[in-house]
Amino acid sequence: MVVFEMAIKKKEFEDSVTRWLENHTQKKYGKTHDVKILHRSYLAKDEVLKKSKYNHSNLLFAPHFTVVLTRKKDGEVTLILVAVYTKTIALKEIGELKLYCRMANPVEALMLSTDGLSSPVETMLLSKGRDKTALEYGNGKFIEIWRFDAVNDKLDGTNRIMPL
Amino acid sequence: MNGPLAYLIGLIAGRGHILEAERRIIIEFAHVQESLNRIPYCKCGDMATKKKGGSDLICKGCRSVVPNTAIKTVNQRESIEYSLSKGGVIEQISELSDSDDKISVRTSGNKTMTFFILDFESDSSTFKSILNDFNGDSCYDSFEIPPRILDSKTSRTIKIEFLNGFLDTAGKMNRGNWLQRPGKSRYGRQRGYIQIVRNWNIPVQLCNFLKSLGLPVQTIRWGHPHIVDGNQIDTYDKGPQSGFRDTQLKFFPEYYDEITLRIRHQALMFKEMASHNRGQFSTREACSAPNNIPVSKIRAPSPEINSTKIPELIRGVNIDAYWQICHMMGCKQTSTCFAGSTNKNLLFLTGKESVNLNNAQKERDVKRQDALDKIIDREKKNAAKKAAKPVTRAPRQKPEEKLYEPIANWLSKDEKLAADEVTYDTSVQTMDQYLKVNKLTGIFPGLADFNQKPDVVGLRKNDGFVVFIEVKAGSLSLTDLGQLLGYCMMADPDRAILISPSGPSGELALMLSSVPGLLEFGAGKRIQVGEWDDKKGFMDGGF
Repeated sequence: MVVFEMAIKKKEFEDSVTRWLENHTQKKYGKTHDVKILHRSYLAKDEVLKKSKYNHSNLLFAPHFTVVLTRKKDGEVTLILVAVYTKTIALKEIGELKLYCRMANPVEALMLSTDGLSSPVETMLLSKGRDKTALEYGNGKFIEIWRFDAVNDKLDGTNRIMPL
Repeated sequence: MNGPLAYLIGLIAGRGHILEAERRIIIEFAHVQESLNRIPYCKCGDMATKKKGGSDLICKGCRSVVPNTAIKTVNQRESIEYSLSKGGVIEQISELSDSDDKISVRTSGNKTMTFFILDFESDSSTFKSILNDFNGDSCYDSFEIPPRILDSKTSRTIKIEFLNGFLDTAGKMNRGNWLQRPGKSRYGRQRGYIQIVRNWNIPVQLCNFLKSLGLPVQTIRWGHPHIVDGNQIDTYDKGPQSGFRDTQLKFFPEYYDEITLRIRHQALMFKEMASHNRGQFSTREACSAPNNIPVSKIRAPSPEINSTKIPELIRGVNIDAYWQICHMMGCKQTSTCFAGSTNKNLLFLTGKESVNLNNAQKERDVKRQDALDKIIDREKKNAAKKAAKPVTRAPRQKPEEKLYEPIANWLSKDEKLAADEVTYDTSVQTMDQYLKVNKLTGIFPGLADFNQKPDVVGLRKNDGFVVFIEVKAGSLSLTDLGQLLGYCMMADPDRAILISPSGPSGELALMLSSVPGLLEFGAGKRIQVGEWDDKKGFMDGGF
């Protein structure tokens, strides 16, 4: 029963994130880009990416959400990667998203969770400037970690958890 | 175009990845099983096989028991490594590399896959021509046969070289693929096949190409759910994705004398299979599509019939015979038949034209519904059986735990660490606690707030040198690497190793070969990824 309830919670959470992402990406990129949201799609095999000529063949992973942004004026494709959790975020999950970012070099990388970071990880990120060094993935871009409000389909609060 | 370039293009078309920005080509050579069995023979000269579930080899001719020593094996990994470093493949590639257009070559991989990595130096004209050949696509799952190979002016020798490359990567010379056929003096007809993964265009292109060279194709086993799992047993038992597999283009090797394979064991197996068949059979058994589709072969529609994994041309179409897919994907042989047909719809539906279309359609619709009803009934019964069975769960275990001690011993020798400088106690308590308990925090201040649990840790006291080893029992994945990278981002050890007896999964190995920067951490340091071998210790994958 607990497993079933967790599955429902996860499904509702992901549905809420989908609604927010559609809204967020259309507002931010809709005028200049065609926006397509992929859910748990294995990027190396994804038909949208295959047709786009985006160099996808080494992207042998499936992020929770991938937003494919195709610039209207020249067809250039960029990605937004989103990882979502209905529990606290652990260090291995940050490491995994960082690897995705090293391969796909997305324009945005987001980690959204109902419960934020696990406290041991938050403690470490708060010291020695690790919030910047650990979450940076190229050309000054950072993985952003946010709490997510699934009741109202929005980011929880106005400030991200990390980086500070 | 010269022969070595045609061969390389064949390798790429079969299993290549083209990384334009890096000016790099990676070719996959799979060796899922370490060794392959060759054809075992009885003293009487006939082939011997094992019955399903049986342990004895029985001769197909004289029926006597044949000792298991008749099974000779080849080591695929060793053969591939040899061919890529000293043998026929590297000989071909070396001919392409010169001082003006230099290609540097290396290999990496794991237990199930070896990657042949070619880096084109300077502004390579060869690389540019290859990019052009594949129309800017980057992976074998979307490649097509380059136009200059198909060109009627291209010589037969060049075309055969292309096939040599394609067969060296995607060809499977597996003795288990034989057909039940009585030969003149021995039983069984050996078949090779070309394995094509996630690419729906190239099988028919390749088939047309082979036929244009007079090389017969027996059939194509498409990776379509209606062909792979027509009665949908696996679809319901293992999940809907099990209806999708690789596509196999099957052929009899005795007609492929011109082929020269350069992967040593492939060449050996190919020759052996051709020799087994040669002079034994009077018919070519070449594909003669379109063939009659009897009503008994009508399939129930798969739940995956509209999957986006199926190309749009075929998506949603009820497929009952392999040649229907071939026809829709551009088979020249069926196109010729259809061009002369007076009722193309009927020919597609039934494979013949001697019946009435409406009657045939109705009859087939009824049969299709019957087949579906039978599957639904079967699955209802299976669900009831499952519900009646109590669920028992085995206690959770961490199978990698038994590896900690031998790996710790290896690390101790490799880094010359004292007995108390290597530990796997950190797998059950956090690093900061371990340091406190052992009064080591002062020597390793960088780890004072590191509250995670690496599996095996080396801590050299005299210079504060730190090693983390993350150990897994199964194939290493990107998630496993993410975990160790997380540790490295927080604690910045001097050395970090990700290790398992299976080494990295094929996917991880391919990603590491494509993006070397994945392993970087700290100031110029790299995570080492490799295999654990009980005798040899840590074997670095060389990524």
